[in-house]
Amino acid sequence: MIFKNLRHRWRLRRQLFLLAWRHDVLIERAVTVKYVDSIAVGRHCTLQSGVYLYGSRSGNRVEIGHYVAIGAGGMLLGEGGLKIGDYTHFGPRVVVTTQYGDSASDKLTPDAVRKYTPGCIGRGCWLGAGSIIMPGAVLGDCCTVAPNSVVFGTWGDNVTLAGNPARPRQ
Amino acid sequence: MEERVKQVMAMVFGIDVKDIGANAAPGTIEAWDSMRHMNLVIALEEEFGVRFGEDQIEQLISLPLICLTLRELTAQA
Repeated sequence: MIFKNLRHRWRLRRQLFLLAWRHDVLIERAVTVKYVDSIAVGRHCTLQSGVYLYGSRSGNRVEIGHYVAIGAGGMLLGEGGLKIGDYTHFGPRVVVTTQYGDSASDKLTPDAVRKYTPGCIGRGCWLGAGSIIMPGAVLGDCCTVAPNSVVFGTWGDNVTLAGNPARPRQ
Repeated sequence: MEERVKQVMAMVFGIDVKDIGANAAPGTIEAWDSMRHMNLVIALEEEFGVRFGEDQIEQLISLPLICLTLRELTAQA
């Protein structure tokens, strides 16, 4: 068991090294990266402490634009494919997920059915602390998401969203 | 109204409009799961300019019920 864990940690360290080696990204402490080969990061990006960045094993891509900042404790689950535009800022503990469990399937099995839907966040968006971007959500450019909002659906440019489910605010 | 609802459902579920029957429900459309249900709710609100209450969101579980709820909301507006 101990060797299994040591091997896992070594793989994670290698993934982190490859991300820093391949891309112009500032990586703070305790960042975890998985499936780095499916991840592309633009110039001058920052992954703050505790970010969990999960690429895709199934051929989808996680594409992060230029000057993107992912706040501390953020989690990006990109198994279904994820695109983030330039200059977008994530507050602390923002979660972006592209996967979810099939609630109708058998849960008492290691092979529980998971579903994947791509997500897209436009350029210049600001995502408030603790907000959650659900699978299939699409945000246009320059959108603002209030803290702790839960975003479903497709939204155009310059929309301010708040609540659960998040809806437009003036 | 039913045709507009079907158009929205087709877009959200990624299926053809002709595959959506008059009594469409989660049991007849495989893609209609809990996650896409929320996407459908948001898309319907945007299309019809209405706002569903929390109780109504749980009741929108078939095409006839969606149309009925939308008629009620649009009549109130």
